Amino acid sequence: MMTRTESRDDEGDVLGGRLLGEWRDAAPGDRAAILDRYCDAYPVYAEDFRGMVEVGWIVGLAAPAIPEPDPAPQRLGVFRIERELPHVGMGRIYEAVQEPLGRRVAVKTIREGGRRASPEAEAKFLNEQRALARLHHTHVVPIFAAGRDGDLQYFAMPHIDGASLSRLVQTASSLASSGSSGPTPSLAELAQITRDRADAQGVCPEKAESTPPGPVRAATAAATHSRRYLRSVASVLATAAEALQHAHEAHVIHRDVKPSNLMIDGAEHCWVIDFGLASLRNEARGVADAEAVHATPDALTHGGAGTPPYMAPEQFDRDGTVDARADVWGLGVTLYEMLAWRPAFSGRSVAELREKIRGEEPIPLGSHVRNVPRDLALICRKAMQKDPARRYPSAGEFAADLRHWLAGRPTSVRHSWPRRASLWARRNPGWAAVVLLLLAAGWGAVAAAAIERDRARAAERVGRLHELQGLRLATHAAGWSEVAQANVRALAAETSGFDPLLNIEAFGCLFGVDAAVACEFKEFTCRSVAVGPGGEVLMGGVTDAPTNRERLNARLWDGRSPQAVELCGAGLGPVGFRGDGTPIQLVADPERRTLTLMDLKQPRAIHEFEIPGTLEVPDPRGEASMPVAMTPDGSVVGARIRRQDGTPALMLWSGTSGRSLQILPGEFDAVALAPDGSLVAAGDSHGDVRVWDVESGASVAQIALAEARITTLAFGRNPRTSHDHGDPPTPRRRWQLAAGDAGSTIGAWDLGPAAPRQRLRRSNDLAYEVLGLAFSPDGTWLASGSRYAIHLTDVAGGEALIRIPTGDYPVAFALAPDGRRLVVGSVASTPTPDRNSVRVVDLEFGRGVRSLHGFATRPDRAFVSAGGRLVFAISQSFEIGVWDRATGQALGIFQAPDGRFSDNAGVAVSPDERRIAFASHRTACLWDIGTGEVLRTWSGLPIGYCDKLAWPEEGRLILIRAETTDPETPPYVGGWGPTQPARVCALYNLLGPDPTTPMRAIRDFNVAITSTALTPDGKVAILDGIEGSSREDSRRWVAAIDLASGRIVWRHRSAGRWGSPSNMLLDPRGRLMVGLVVGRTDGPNPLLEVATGAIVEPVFSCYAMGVDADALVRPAEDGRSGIYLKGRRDPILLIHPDRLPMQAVGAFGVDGRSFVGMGGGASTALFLGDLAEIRRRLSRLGLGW
Amino acid sequence: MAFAASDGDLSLSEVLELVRLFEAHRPRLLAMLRARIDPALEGRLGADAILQETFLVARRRWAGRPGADEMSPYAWLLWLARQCLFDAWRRERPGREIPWPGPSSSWGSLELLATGTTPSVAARRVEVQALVRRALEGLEKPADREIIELIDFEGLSAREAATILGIAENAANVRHFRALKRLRVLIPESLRQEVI
Repeated sequence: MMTRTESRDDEGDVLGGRLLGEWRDAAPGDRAAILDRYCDAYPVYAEDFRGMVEVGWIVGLAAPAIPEPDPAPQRLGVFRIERELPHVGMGRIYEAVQEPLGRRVAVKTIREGGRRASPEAEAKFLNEQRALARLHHTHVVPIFAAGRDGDLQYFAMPHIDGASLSRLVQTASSLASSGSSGPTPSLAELAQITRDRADAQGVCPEKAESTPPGPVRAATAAATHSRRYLRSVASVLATAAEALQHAHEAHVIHRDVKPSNLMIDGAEHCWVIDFGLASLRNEARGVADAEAVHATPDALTHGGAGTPPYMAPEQFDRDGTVDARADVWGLGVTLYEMLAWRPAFSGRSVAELREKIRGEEPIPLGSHVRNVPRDLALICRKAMQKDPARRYPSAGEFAADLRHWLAGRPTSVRHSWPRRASLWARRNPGWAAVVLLLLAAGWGAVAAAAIERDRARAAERVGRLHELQGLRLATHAAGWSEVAQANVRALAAETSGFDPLLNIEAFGCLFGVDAAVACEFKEFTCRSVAVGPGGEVLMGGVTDAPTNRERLNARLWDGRSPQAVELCGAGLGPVGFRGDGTPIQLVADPERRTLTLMDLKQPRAIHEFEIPGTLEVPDPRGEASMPVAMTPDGSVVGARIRRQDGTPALMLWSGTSGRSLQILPGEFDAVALAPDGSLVAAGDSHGDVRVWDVESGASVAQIALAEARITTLAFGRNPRTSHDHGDPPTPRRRWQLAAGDAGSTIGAWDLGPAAPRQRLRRSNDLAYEVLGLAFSPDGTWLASGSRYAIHLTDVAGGEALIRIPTGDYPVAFALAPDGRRLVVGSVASTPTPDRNSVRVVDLEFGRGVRSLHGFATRPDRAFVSAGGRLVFAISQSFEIGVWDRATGQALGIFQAPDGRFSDNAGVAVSPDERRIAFASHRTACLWDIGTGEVLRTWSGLPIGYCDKLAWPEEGRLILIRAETTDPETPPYVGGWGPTQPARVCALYNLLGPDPTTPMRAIRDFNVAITSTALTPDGKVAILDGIEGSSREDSRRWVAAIDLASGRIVWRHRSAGRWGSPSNMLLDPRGRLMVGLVVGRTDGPNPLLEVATGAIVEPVFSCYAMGVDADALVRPAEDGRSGIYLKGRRDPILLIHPDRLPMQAVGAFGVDGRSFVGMGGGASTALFLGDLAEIRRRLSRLGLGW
Repeated sequence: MAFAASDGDLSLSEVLELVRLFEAHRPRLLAMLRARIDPALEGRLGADAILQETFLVARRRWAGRPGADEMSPYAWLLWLARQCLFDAWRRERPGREIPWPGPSSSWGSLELLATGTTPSVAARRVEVQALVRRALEGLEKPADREIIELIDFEGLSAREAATILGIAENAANVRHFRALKRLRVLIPESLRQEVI
């Protein structure tokens, strides 16, 4: 039976549909009349009709493009406008470059759509400038400059590339509703995800909406937050509150604190923005200074000043006094929204909102979030008390409570003794056990608590898995693996049997770069660091302990003991170690303006360098690049000088003889010397870098980075060599150069052999200048410092490896020879004793699974050498990489001269593991791994496919390949029918007396070879191909050929079509083989014995095979692959497709333990695991291995 | 080559016109298909493959295509693409109805439309979109979401949408009205206040 309302609705909908039809067909001008006509005729439905038009318009807003009325100015004062940033408040914000500093800034203007701004808007604009000018705080955006260009007012501030908290809530809730329901990544990770999404859309994540996000309809079920998320929210809000406390002390009340006015930038730094509504009080008079805001309240959005859903009750009162506690309210509602993912108050109108805010309590947090910590809920409630007198009296106290909660200390909101006891117990677990035993007898309510605990545990389990996933997929931040491993341990404790998901995540935490601060020396502003051959660390800088008078000094730390020893005779300048281990420093005396090379051990002056003019002296505390430079061993030193005639120059001296080497005219901002003293580089304020040969003074290269001032330069080992035969390894080939500029751009170049070649170009998300650079010892990655963070980047592949937040400005970098330890010296913007420090960071490049870097493109195939000392691989662009298996350091990246498909290329390492050979298409090439020198090239080979190399003993480098009788005609696989010329399988010994003439050629078969294999001993070749004269009558053909006799030892022919072309796979010793059908995972591939051709297993699929098939990579469920060990049903580890694509997986070593695989996805890295080590680590994580 | 053989009835200029038309609408069609394909089936039911099939079907039906007054070329291609998708679905999962786009899949088409404008407009739109998106997700009936997507986002006329959905034009109007009415309740008041 139809109820009355339903039939009424139906009638209304039919009428509404008719209205909609007419409405759409009518000219825009006539539409209002149509609507009115319908509303008058059917008043019952008038609200629906009008609502339909309204909502249609809103939906339309989301779809069609709206033309932009007003073009952006080209330039405002000294600011060159680059693009408009998304901004929905009043006025416009542009991204701009401040000339001539090259600094990237945000310029805010006040014009809207070509119109002049209203007086109210101008007042607000001025107000914001005044407020900002009063504040000096690391979490409040400073104002750089203000001005007027024509009738356009503007002011400039740092460009923050980040996302607002409201945007992060949107990201979080969209993540939750897009299937990954459950706990959330931390705010920093959300910021990263938001940025990535914005990048993908081509829009900028900065500056979120001024409207509050609406209620999240989809997420009706209560959410569960991860601890990381909760902690990050508490930490960010505490920081924001501290910044507001600073503002309050400067008599500035923000009055518009809300999620969209708190931002997180790329360095996880929190910013309080938009002081446009701030009230400024003059300390002396105690009255409002910015009358504009108070006098014209109507001009502001909704009656009072503020954004209604976030306004404190007293802010709705026009006559009410608003003080710092209104901002406390704002912090409270922001905290609420960050926890509940919806605004504390929402209403259909301002009036409704006002009534709710004044009279109603928000829905308790517990009904939105299952696991909201009680203290956070209470802190939130205290901040949101309707009566200001009952709120936190200051933002500082709100911050303090959050900090207490973060540290596990009691907060001011809860005093009950059980809570205090449990917090105490968490901090003192040993004592707590004793106390608990004493109490246990009388504890009756424990059972009830246990049920609650079970429920919480289930929620926590899901939460931890999600957290792990987030950790694995996000750009790593220092310390991530600790969190990941703790989570795996906790999950493993509750898991019985094999959990594929957990296995993947557990593998994820054994893989990838992590960093941990090993020790830190405080009260020291460090401008220069060096690591000695024995791991000792030398630091040069300024001691700034509050009790001592500040003074320049140097400290030496032996790498083990808790204290560093102070060295006498030090001053300001770069530090280093001489060949014999003596600590030295190039001291630039600011008063005497002399330059001295000091032996810090004695102490004594080794040389005082003669300066034909005056020396530019460094600023002991600034972050600017030092005007003096020295090689790490002091063999060559350099300094920026001003000659007697006033012209600037760069002067170089020998550190051993003290004599002057070169005077290079020019004005430079950054200087660096190659570690062997062969090259010097200098960068100028226009973004150009010049490189000279130190000995000859000849210009070697001139490189342009961007147009911003070069702030720092570094040389590093160049792991790459070219294929030019006979070209001696000149200095420019030995070194690569990196440069950073004031606009946050980093570049890295190969300097030789001809023109410099850019390897890396990267702009940090931050607008901050690059403060320091250092290459890894093997030259495959680069450490860079900008304000508040250190970044590690893969040089050739460009992949960001890790971000280490610092809280200060890291300026000086040095790496231990094994590349595992990074020493970073920092200065701080505001010198406070506890902030400047020297950090010794241990870089864990793999906790069980090592990453191998150096390729510019994705790796295609990888191998472990027979001797087990090396790992080598070939990339899609025919780079051949060789790494040390023990250390993971790149020994060399060689560019092959020629090649067609990497599947077709043969690579082999010499028996002594000192040389590597490559063959493909028409050429073969041999390199010395140690020196990078090309030892030999073979050209003039006929065009060949499916090259395979084996190097079983000195003097025998066997090459097998498919050719035709005509050297210029390749042996195409396609093209059915009789092929002319005939197909040939040719065998060469490239180290024999006549290397380019085949030792043997097998001709009497009409087989299109699709794949070849050679046993490591070079005795047997296996050919896999397709036999036949047409597609219909084709058969797969596999045969083993004894290379000594040229005889076919065994042969298999498929009956009918036996699969498609394949790749062959041999075990590392060459005893077993399987032919992989390309593009299929489950082909009917038998496992064969190489010697006899006997079928060991009729159906066998795997992607990689260990010795005697004891370990295999084979397809698992869901497109994943697993490494399986003999006798085990479950894989030892599952490899997630996110990490590892399955078209190329890697190889096992002869030792039966090592496995080298591809980094996966777009990654250019490889990974190297030791199966025994992986097993040990997994069992330590509690996964039963 | 196979291409020429089965194109007997189409002149070269007709084929070129179809190719041009197809290339022009390819991103939007692809976005629609991606939004509709159940992620669980992605891989077996690739949007690219379905688009390829759409092209072949379009070539076969080129002569009998509706006139421009009846249906825009885009709407026609969209219609064909949807049919191909449904056919593919039926092949893959016989006897089961094709699922409606999940809440999150409607984003694809939304985000696509945000491109090609200035940053500030795009950003504002992204924000409005986020709110509209949430509201759309709140709609209980997928059919409501679909009609809004076709008319408001794809920009089709009621007549085109009706053809695609296989219903009468006035039924499409009624369905659209009903969907907007239900959507209205879900759009946050703050947004309504702001834009009105």
